Amino acid sequence: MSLARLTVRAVVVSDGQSGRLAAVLDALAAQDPAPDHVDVVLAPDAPDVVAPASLRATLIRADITNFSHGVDTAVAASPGQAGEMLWLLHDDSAPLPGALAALTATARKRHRAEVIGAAQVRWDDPSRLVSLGTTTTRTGARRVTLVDEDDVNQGQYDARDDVLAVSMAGALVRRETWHRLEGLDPAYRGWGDSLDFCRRVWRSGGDVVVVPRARIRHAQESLYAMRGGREGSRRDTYVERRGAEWFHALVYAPWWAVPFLVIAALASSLWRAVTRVVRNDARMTAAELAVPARVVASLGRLFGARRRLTSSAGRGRRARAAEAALLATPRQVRHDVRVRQWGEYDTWRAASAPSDVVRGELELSRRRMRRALAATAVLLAAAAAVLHGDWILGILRGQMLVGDALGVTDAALGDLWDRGVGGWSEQGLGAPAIDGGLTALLVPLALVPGGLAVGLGLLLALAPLWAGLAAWATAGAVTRSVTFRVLAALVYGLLPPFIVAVGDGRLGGVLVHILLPLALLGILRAGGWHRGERVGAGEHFPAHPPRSSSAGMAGAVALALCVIASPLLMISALVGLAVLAGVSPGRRGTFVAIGVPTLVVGLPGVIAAVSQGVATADAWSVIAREPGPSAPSDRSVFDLVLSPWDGIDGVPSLIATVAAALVPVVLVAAALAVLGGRRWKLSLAGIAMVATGVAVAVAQAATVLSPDAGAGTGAANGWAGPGLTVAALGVLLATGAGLDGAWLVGRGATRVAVRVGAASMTLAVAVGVVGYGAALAWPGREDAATVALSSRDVVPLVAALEQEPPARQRVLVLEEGGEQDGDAPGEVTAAVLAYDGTDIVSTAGELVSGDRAAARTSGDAVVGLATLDDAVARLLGGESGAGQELAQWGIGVVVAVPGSASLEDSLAQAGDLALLGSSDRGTSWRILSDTGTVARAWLDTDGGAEPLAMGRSGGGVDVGSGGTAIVAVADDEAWTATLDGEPLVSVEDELGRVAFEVPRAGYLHVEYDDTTHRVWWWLGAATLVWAALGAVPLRARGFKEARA
Amino acid sequence: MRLTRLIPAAATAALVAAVSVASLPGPAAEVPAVTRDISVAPTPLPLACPGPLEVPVGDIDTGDSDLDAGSDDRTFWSAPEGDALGEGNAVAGAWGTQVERVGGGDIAGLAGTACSAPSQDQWLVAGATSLGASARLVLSNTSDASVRAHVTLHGPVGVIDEAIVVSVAPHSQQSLLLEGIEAEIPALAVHVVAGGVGVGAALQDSRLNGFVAAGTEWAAPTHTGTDLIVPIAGPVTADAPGTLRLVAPDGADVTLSLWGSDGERGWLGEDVVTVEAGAVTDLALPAGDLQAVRIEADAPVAAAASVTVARDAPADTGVAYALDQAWTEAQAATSDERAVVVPGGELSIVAAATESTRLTLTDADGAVVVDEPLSAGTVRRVEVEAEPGSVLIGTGPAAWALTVADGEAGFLTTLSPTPTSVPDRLVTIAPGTYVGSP
Repeated sequence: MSLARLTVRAVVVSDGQSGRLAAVLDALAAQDPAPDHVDVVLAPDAPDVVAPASLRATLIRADITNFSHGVDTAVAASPGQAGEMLWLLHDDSAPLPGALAALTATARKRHRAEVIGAAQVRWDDPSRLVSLGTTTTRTGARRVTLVDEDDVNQGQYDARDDVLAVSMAGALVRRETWHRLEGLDPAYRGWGDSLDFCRRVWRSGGDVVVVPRARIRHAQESLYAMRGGREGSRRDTYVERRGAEWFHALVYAPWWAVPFLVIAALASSLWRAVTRVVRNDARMTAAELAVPARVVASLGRLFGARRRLTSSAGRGRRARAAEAALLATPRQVRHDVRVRQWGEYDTWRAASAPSDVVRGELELSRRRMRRALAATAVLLAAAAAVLHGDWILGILRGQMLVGDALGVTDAALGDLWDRGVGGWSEQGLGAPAIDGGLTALLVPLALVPGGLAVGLGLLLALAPLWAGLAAWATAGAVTRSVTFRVLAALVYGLLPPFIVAVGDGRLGGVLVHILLPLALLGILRAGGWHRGERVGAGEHFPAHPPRSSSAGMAGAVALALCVIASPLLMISALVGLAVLAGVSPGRRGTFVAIGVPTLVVGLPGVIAAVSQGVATADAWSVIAREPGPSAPSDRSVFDLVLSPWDGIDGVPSLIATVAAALVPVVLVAAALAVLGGRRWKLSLAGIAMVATGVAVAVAQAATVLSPDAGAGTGAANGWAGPGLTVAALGVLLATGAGLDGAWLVGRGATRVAVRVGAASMTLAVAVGVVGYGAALAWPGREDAATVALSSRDVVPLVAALEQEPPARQRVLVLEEGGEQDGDAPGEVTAAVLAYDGTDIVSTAGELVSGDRAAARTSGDAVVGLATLDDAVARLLGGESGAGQELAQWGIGVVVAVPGSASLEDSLAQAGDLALLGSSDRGTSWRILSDTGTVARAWLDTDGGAEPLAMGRSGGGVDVGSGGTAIVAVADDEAWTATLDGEPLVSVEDELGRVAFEVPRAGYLHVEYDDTTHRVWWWLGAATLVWAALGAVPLRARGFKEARA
Repeated sequence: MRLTRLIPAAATAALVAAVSVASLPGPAAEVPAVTRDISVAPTPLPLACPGPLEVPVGDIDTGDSDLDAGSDDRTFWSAPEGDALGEGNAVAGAWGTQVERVGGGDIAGLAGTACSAPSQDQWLVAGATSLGASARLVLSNTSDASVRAHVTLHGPVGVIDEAIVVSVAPHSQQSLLLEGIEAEIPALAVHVVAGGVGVGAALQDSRLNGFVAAGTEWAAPTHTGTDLIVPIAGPVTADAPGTLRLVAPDGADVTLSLWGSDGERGWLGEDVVTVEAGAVTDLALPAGDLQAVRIEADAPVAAAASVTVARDAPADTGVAYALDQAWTEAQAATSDERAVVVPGGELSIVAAATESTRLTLTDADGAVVVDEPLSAGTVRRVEVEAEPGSVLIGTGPAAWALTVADGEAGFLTTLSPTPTSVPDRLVTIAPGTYVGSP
């Protein structure tokens, strides 16, 4: 122990931005022993401060740039004394009594201690720790605190001494050390410079010691961005701090590791940004993304900082050995991460933990709910099995569902993706699409083992189950009544128009019915309008359930998917969200965010509609389009709801009557439920949904849609189902809200009356459900479903093989009309197939009047199948040369379907056909082309034709000479061609195909390149991914950054 | 109670009122696929001539020429020259005729027919499969691909059993003995439906009365329509009866008018004859020298008339007269150019028309051979002198048939003119979808 008296020079640096300077000086004055000298360094524009008289303070006005500069100024102003120590204090750090004594005591004991730090405690609550030494990882890119923030100081850390670093605020630093190490490194811009300084101390042979009993109240105004009286938060300084951490890592890393660290900084920021998206924290997402820029910007200062480290402290192995033991161990890092990232969650959980009694009641309710859910699911699954059990068996056998309205359902994942991204629809002879159609919804279904046929098949076959479960979840948010939830799930899952839609394969309507309850659930939870479980005497737990942004984002995804399936819903969805945002000011951002994915996926349609004129029939037909399969329905909207029982002929009249009464009974029950006026806002929202739903349904049904299979094919009117789904959910919402707590309403006779009324209505609905279920399950019921099972190969294998790349020929399938098909006898149905069966599910080239593509404003009609009628007729009528015309459109194979014997005979006579073979899928002929092979695209030369190897919407070949490149699809401006990378000029083709002039030999490449479509697709995909990430329920587990 | 609690009820009432008052638009009608009827001119194919008659029981030589089934006295004549097609031949061009004279035996008589163009849907209204009758259907395929034909037999009780499918190889014939398919049909009509370009069809109708020939004739496909004329080729007497045979595929109410040389003659008591769907109806023709029947129906019918010529039967046969018969097919009154190739023999034209016109027939070079006036609703017989092998071409609206007789032997046959051009085919195409065959 040195007997020489330690002299302490306290240096307080202030830029005048803190209001706590006076308190700091008072605290200094209260020290015993007091510091020998006190230098108060003030920036020129800082307000004057009056130091306590007992304090021999020297006020220095200087043009200081940072804390270190301020200290330097003070030190330079007074001559140095041997063994003098600098007590560095910020203007928001006030030592508690006895702090200096404890520090100096340690300074005397520890000769090699060159920096002696104090324990930092909260300004307003000195019993809470802020910092007691810090360390960092081996890389140095993460600052690790050695105490849990806000930990109560009970002396548990009093034994701590050597640490890697301490905060300079309140630390004693030997004056010669300060000189030797040239003070704090200004390259750090004030963040992390303490850590750097302390590490340099260790490397230069000194020790850094923390004294837990010396406590400094530290307001951390910089950290919380509160300097200058601002109302900041920790989040405001996140970018600077995170950037400084990376800068620190760059300074301490070997030179060769610098580029890797920069890349690591980028990767880390991206990952952290994703986690911020998951937490629905847009601001911190932006902050995370700004970090790499900050790191790159700091590279200019890197050389100086690394030189300062090398010159003042050294970089060798020996220098590193001193600090090695003090770097954070993996365990410490894990602990730090856990405490910082999960501490908030644990705090919340602890705060909201129910009492044991409540916990018991909750467990009981949970068990009751689980049993009811299981029973409901079993009932719905049984209903699905009764309705379409054969579908499930067939799908498991490897078959697929097909239907005139559905098309084939065995599209390959790659084709779906190409269709979605590319935007070229193979309907008819090809057409541009305005958006990805249903592909965004089909891609996940295609990921199911077994492919789209299985995914889509199980979706349709078990649709009542899915819809019922969704309704169960939504009903649970509205009310906690088990009976209501069970009945709501059963009625909604078996809603008559929905059952009709499933049987007809109206995929859009089915998807909306399954997804829309989830959207409503998300919106209810985002608004905090859902109900906690009932406990005790009927009160809810929690009384005010937390609003959930994650649920809101899940709802946003569901809503966007609904709008994809039924674009007409977009307008009402956005208006509804706007109203919600208007009436709930606190959640405006949430509702706006919920609307964003819907807007983005719906916007291409709006743009296409506007480009067809603002208030024209064409614009409306685009707005009200059905992207997936459609089928005509001549039933009025109310017929569909109230007497949809065309499908249950063959059921005893009593059961049919009970079944038919279900929907009216439900509507009466709903009307009675809203009479009470309980939760009137939610009830009103439900009634508004009913009105909107009916309007949407009527408008949709009154619209003639674009033909599914291209120009000239049959066009259906819209399906009222999606609108009716909205109305059904409105009824659910209004009824649930109106009944909420009705069981406990009133007293005496009133209560009895209400209870009897509620019970009898419940009984009536239950009887209706049972009757309806019996009607559906009745063995003699005539099944009206038009969807059927079929083998996955539709055309003969020889024909299907020709549809594969590279030739990608089309197949002309001819079917003799019979009266059983509703066709006139002798009528020949001609279908041109690009795939193995007509693919309506994924193709959606939207056509408006005059067969124009809605995606284009050129006004040109899309060439339809009618252009082939003459050739087909001549082929059948025995005229020669018809095959050549078909080959001009890439048709290489003609198939007469089984049972079309006279067609087979006609085709057998045709001169330009060669029999390929006959199978139980039909008889196939190859078209003998004059030019050799038939292909989807080829180069017409004088000597013949060179086929291109074609993918779905592009392909190429090395051509030996010039000529005309022909792509046998309907002409569209987005088709491009290049020869050795140089763009080619398109030329007019007399048949209306895509054609380009090829001047010479080279590599010819043609491609459908619709940039606008692609941009929209990726934008929509990115928005959906963003919303899906936001739906991950991590909200309550936010960083502490979120707290302030 | 706060007033806000009334809001949902008020809103519900308003909604119900609005829905009941407002007249909401109904569902839009679907737009059906655009169906197009396209007329196609098929590539002309050679005409099919069925070839020589066959003796139903085979050529049995009994040693007694009066009892022999076959006969050595057979003359087969056809024009113009064609390529062999099975037993018959295929004649390239717009017309062709074959006539065969059998001097004795079971099929003694004169049997001729115009060579027929391949067709997809044709009715042959002739024949019987009852005892003593034989009906042989000859299907000829003159194309390069095999053709499947569906043959349906119709009798007095309607359609008989399901269609028989006959596959006819390229450039070949298939002959069917219909009594082997269904015997005891006293009045037969045969419906032949073929795919592709169709087949040529002809029916050999042979009758035998004990050991005595009762007539043999080739029947050609008849026209089907709602307004037809059947010229009656010869006089009808008690000994040589005549019959009108009708079949309506989907049933029809038929009005029949019998015309004589001086206008309409009274015939059936009722005006309207109801023909059951698919059932063959035979009506005995009243006695008369020169007659024709006009058929007006509310649905398409096919018809033909048979006349017989009586001659003395060989002695000791127990039969007074031997007969030869001639089938004349119904014709629509049309101005399409039709032609017949003239064989040798005693030739006359039997013509009738619904309107007053002239029967003008020219030869292939355009020289007028026959030019006679024809009053509405009357029948005329015009004797014709023409070289065998020459052609008679008519374009007028009259229905006419060429009768060929061998008066000395008491033989008769008729030849109906056939269209000289292949009619356009109508193909109805509808664009559609295909998701597999159930």
